[in-house]
Amino acid sequence: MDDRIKESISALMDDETNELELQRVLSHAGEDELLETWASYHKIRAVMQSEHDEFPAIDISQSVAQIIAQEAPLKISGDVSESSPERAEQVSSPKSLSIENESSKTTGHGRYAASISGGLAIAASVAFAFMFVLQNGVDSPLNVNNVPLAFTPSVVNEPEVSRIKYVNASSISESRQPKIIVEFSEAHARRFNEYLLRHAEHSVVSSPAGMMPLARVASVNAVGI
Amino acid sequence: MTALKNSNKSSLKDRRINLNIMIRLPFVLLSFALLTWSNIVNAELLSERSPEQWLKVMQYASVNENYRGVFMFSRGEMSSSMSIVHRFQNDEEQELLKQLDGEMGEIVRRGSEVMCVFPDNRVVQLEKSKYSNKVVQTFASFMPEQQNYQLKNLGPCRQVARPCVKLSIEAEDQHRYSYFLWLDKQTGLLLKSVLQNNQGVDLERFQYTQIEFPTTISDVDLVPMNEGSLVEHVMIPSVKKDLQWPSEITWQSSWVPPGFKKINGEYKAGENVMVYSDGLANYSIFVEKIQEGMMPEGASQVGATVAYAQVLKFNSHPYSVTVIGEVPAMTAMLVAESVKPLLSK
Repeated sequence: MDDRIKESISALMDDETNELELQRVLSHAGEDELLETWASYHKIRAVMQSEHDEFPAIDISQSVAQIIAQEAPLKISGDVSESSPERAEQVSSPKSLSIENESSKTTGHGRYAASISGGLAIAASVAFAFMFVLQNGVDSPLNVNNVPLAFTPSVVNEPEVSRIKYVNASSISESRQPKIIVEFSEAHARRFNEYLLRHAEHSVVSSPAGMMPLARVASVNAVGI
Repeated sequence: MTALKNSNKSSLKDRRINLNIMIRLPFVLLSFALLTWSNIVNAELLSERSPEQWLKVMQYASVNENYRGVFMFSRGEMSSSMSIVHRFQNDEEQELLKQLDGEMGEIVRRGSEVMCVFPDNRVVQLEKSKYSNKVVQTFASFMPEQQNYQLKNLGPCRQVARPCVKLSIEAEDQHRYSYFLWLDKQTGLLLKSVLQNNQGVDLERFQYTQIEFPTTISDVDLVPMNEGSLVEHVMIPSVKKDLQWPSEITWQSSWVPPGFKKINGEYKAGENVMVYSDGLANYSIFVEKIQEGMMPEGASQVGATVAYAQVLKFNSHPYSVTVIGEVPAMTAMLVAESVKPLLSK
């Protein structure tokens, strides 16, 4: 290991690396010598700052080496910070964060990040993350929706309910085809709106488009409830 | 000591390290938070987001942005224009929707509480149900995993004089509809959407014709016009149970379309409302006792929304099942037919 790398390590600790130096350090990330240097620089810094008197007694290089043996090299920083939280500032400089970001997410790091962000309000917004779920079922084609759709609140003399038949629903349940009603009596429309409102109340909080469920209510409420 | 380059510099450097740590620590914590966050939304820093990322941003924007605008909403042959004011403040969403055509109707929302204000000064509100808040909580724990839609980014476009991105979300089976979405490039807010059935027929269209994103919205803007003169406050009761039955029936939907998941908690004894979602489309199931003035059996369809009503029997007990949501009528029917009491073990 040449002095240039040592310089780079020193710079990395001080958040002064450029991209090239960073890559140089990373390319040696699995080597014991680099890790020793990294550890000893930190010891030196700790001693100079007299802030961790107990530190020189702790040898983290072995556990670091173990972790490296088990997992991806970039995992180091996350786990070091986890196993010795008092040293977190050493590995969590913005530069090294970006290293971790580039590396694939590791469990140790994920735990650590989660425990920190758990306390922050910003994480609450994540709660609105959206879902798509589970199995991918392929059912036989149904062709249910070839019915022209129109909604007209029915005028008094119109037949209360008009039903449109359709033909080409196949399998699943061969005799079962939904009767589609597109013209509503006033009472029917009122009832429909009630359900729509209840449904909107449920879905407004989960709908990815926010007000859409309410817009649906608003656009049919001409008939009232 | 190579690390510290030379000894003259070291004391200076020493001080700087100390200072750096002090200054950096909060920043470091924030960076960590952002890192977690980055998988969700922060990818917005990249100009090229995946459709999944765009959808997450859209979801976030629809809640967290302040906006005010006018939009057209059409379903089937009917279309109407509405105005909207949306505010996110103190962790609560507030929204006022006004019907701009015909008689004036308004919908007010505070959090999950929804109220309709009608021209005749009637206010219709849902009886405060025990379900509403649970939905939010359980929803938050879902992990996105889409297999039932195919997502595509169709590239940049322009809507309401704003640069936007067009996405297509194509249904992979017969149990859901397909969508085209136009999202505001800056905020991610949905500016236009078209919902299509699998025949390519437009069932529902939504489109802003005017929009702005004010930094603050005053309380006054969220007060319905008619509120001062409220005369009648109508409550829509929650769905009625049949008291003749053993009261603690656990209702279950024994068939759930692929990709849909119950979002209002586990099946529970006595619960007669079930809400399902596949991430884009929702449907609700109501189980009620037989009563006067029920929906005619069959599928009542308005645009993309279908309400399928059916009377079913368990032993000698009749009960009514209504499934309402943005799903094809056939799907709603299959769901309705599958609703039955969970037999005690």
